[in-house]
Amino acid sequence: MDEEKLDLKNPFAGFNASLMNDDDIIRYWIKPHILFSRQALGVDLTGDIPVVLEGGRGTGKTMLLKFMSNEVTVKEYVAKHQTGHRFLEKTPYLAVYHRFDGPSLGSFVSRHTSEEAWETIFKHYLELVIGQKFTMMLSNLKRNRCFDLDPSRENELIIGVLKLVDPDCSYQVTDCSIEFATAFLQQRLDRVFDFINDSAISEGTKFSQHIVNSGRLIFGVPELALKVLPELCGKKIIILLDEYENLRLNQQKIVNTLVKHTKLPVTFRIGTRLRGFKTYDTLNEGEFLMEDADYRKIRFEDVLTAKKDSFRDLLRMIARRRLEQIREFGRKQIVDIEEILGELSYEDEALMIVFGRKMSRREVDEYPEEKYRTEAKHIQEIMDILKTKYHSDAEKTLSLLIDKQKPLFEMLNLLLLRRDYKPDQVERLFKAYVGKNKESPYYSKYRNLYDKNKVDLLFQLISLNKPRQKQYAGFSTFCMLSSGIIRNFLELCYQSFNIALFSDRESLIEGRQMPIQAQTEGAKIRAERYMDVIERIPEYGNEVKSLVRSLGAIFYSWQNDPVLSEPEVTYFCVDSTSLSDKARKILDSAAQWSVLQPKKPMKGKSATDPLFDVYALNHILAPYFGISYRLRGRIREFGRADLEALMFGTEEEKSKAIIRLSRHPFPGRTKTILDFVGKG
Amino acid sequence: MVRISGFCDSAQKLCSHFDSVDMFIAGISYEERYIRGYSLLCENGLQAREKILFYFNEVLATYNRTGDEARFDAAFAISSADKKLYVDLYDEINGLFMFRRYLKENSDKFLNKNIIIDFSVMVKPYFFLLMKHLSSINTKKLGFLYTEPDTYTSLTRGAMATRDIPGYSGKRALTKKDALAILLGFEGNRAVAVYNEINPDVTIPINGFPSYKPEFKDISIMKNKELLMDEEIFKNLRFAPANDPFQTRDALLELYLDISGEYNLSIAPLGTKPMALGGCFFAMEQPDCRVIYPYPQEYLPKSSKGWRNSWIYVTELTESNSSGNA
Amino acid sequence: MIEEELLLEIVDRNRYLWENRLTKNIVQAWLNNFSGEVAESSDEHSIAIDLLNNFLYYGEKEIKYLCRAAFSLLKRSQVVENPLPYVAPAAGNCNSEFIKGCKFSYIGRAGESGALVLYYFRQENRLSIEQFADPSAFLTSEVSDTELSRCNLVFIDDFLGTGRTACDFWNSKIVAIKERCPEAKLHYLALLATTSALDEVKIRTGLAVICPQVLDDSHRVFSETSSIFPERKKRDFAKGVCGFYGGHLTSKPHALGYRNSQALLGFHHNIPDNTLPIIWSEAELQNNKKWHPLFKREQKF
Repeated sequence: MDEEKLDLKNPFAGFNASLMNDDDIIRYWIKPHILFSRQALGVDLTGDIPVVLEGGRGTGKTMLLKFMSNEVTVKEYVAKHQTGHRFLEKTPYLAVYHRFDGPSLGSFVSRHTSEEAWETIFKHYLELVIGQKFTMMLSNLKRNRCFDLDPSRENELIIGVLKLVDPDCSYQVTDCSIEFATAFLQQRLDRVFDFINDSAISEGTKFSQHIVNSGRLIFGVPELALKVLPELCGKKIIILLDEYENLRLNQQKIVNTLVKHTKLPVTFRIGTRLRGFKTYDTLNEGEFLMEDADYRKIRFEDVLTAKKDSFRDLLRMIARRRLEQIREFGRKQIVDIEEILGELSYEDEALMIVFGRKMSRREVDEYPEEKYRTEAKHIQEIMDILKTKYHSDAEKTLSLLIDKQKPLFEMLNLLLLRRDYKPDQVERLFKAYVGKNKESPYYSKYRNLYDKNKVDLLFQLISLNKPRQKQYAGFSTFCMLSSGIIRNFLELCYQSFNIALFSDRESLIEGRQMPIQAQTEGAKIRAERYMDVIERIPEYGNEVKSLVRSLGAIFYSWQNDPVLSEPEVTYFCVDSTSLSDKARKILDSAAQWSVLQPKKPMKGKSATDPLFDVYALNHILAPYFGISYRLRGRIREFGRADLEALMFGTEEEKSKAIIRLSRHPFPGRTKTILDFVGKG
Repeated sequence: MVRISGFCDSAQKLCSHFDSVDMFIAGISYEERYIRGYSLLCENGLQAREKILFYFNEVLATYNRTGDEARFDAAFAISSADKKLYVDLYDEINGLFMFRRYLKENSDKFLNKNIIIDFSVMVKPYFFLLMKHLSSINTKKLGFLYTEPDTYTSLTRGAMATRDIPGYSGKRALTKKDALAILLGFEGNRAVAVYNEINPDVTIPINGFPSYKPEFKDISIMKNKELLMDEEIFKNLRFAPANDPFQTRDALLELYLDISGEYNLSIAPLGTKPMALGGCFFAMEQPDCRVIYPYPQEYLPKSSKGWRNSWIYVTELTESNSSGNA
Repeated sequence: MIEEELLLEIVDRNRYLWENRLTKNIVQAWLNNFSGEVAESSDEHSIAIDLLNNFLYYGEKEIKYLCRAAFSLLKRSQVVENPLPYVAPAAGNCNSEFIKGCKFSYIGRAGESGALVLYYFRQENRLSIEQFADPSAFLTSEVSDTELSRCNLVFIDDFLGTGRTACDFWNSKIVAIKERCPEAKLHYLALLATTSALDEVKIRTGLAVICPQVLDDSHRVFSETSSIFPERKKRDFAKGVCGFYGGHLTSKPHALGYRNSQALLGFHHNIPDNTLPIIWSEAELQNNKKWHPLFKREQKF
């Protein structure tokens, strides 16, 4: 095959939900059934009570909200049934989607117009926007023949909307369609935009248009529609508001008020990043939104990853849809991403580290024992301990503690020796496990030790065998690196395919496993790009980056702890109430951008201790720092002084804090850790 | 509705286009090219009758040295006829309000006069707003001077917020989808920041090509890898000359005519300043389009070294009764 | 073996800049050409990689845009030369009349890249096919004397590397056209040109070439102002390596590109022979081996 002629596209190019039109969403979107399962969530996503959907960028929040919108649900129905007829019978709800555009919202401010005036203008604007969304929805339903709309009913709707906007005016409308109402609302919106543009650069500009009071259109149009169109009876009217975090504080109060005082059948679904609520207050003094009473909350990442298999299946299905779109892959049914990426077990990886390449069992067996003992660095470490500490017949003892087919077991034996286990004790444990003597108590002990520490042992093995590096490859690894964020997975696949398509196209086309090297490189590129983005987080980007780099160095040090006091440290805990305002905001910012992922708060050691907030470093960064991507051990609580030093301290303060919080490895390696902070 | 026409020529031919200069407007900076525009005027025997200079407070405070202001005064040969406006670099609204006030109080100095603006070292929000204010008066002839840098160093640091440039919020029709045209610069992260904020349905990157130096066209592509990673976005790549605002305006107009029936158009002027000026021209002619900008935490004081070619953009603003489309 | 970091860089450049023309095998084979006959192969590879990273490639989109840019410059040259009080409609009218009066043709021979570029030029600028002609048409009755005296003849080329082709063309065709019709107005458009070529053409023909992208001497790989090898010692070494291998691929005067052009660029439709031959040659070598090119050049047969 002439490889130059075959133009294979990367199946994972184009992974932004917002970039997808409705057809793409229907084509690519895999409905995460778990989110629509009331049992799984304790929340009815299509029920009466407002729901807040919290999740980082790329978790699938926008996809879900758009999927619920009337544009997509009607389109999907029509594609299936070739008609919109009976759509209203089947659907329990009708939804309109609106995304809060941050830069636009930032324009609702100017020095020559008071805050109060802007508040009023924003309320007016919101009414017009949502009102227009409703009229567009009615147009959509009409266009797709979901109901019959005779001219008199249509007229009634139009006049009803106009009067809601301006009750004092009398309107006579004939021979108009519902699109006229949409255009009318757009004209009113244009006046708002004119005011925004003029007031930014001129003094003395006044907003002279009649204001639509809060709720008049948002609740009024659905009420009107229900009156005129009995077909809509019994339907929920859901307002899907995405990127709530972009609203300014006063603007959030306005939306909170609507949510608090929502009038059925209207309800809300609010999509926001973590810590997206600047306030829970409403416009009424002393009133605020209360979880469970006024709304329910779903945290996307937690829900999607609660059941490991559900998330894996979801990713496989999403990947399958993409692969099917590429002719070469679809035709040959090379559409299972799990097969393409394969798996790389820790044991296989350990063998690759020790021998420098992939080796078959037979090749390992035939490898000369003497050569192995002299070349394998971890074996030398064992020998050193045996010789210096036990003065025994080290060679003979060594032979009882090693098995070149199982370098990770050898590393565990080394670890136990470092923890002052005697050689014969280690031998007993080892022998029981490899001999599969399940009756023996030593068997389960060794197994537990192995399971707990094997990943860190692998990292230590790598550390002994520099410049060999940790591989980040395999479907399971990619799932874990994704940290519950679908987009992370898609980007990992994108980068890996990019490299593989250039350097080993044949493997892909022939359905063989993608080279591990390509996957690892893809994961590293993704991690580096993620680090680049952190710096650009508005306001606190530099501080978040400083914190992340320091955490990477600290976690790396714990991985290299010779006695592995805590395995796979990738998170920390802190008493947030003790932090300064600035530090809290930085943590919030990091959480909002999913750089740190908050976990369930932890109890302190004593009953009187406050709850500690727990933050995990987003696993997507693991390849950047060369650390684990699982949540296992933890370190001591970070105190205020240390954490703030890591965020915005001087270089000296930062270095001292890192040293305090690190687990020091062998002498001579301290410098490496601090150098590490300068990485990238 | 304003209509902007004009052409681009080498600044060496200033005299062919201007027989006198009534007003010269510029800003101060530690970039070496800040004074080139004024020097060219002098070399061409075109002494400005009056100068208005934006003395950016942050620039003056950069090194906290006495004598820096005097140095700028000397470079521009400041006299009592001239006006120094002490403004904040990061607050273009207030800065341009001061200018506007001066404009109102001294309208005779602008009406039917030849005005040259050297915008080489002005940050983009500044000249966007300057253009808005200048468009409200009848000038005889308007010229924008620009000097290319020889090399770029680091341009900005950190991120503040992505916002509409004041006065350029456009008019968004909810019945339409959203398109974003990004004039590509060397700071890919900022392009991604804008893209993530807007989440447009369609993104059209516009690379500065032909570029000041031939290799710059590749540098800006590679610096924007993150954005262009998306196949759809990469496929939409277009071009506009890095040194020509009129052709940039035309490129945007062509795009607008293609898509305005279906899309609201936003522009992010991250490319060269002449391209950004073209974006400004376009946004003034098509006021329903919005201009969005990722304001940085800091504009670095010496973001370029040396200088290369200088250009004069001879510009005319006219009122048009039509929509202003071609 | 291509190093990991370099591989990633190449993957990106290949995708974003080189229209996916390369694969790992092509790059590896090309690097293997440098077999250590001048210095350590690792040192030779280092030079090769520098060349690879500085290769200027103009893809199809860019070529098409240069056609539009060249046309804009041509139109603008009329406005600037004849600056009416620039009320936009008037300027537009002037332009339209001028465009209608243009006849476009190519430099060189039919079947060469100039003719292909003409196709792009016509498409991108939405010009009528009636306005395009073979150069020889201007010497025959296909174009009348009257028409010739009224129209603006625009000759288009993709790359002006040394100016030699343009000057030869001038001598062979343009002089004859001028003889036939001294009033004929002539314009020369090149999508890219070097400053030295522009000077050469100006001196020998009096024509000011209109060109949207000019390459100064810093783009000659081994010039003193080279942006690719600014440091002299490395530059001399690189020149030695390229000259040695280039000398085995083509005749000595062209070992560093046609008439010592020392160019390092290529186009979607072809690699000009001004570019270092180590980039494009597929010549058979003395030891029965073949030189593996990085970017193939379509040979003129």
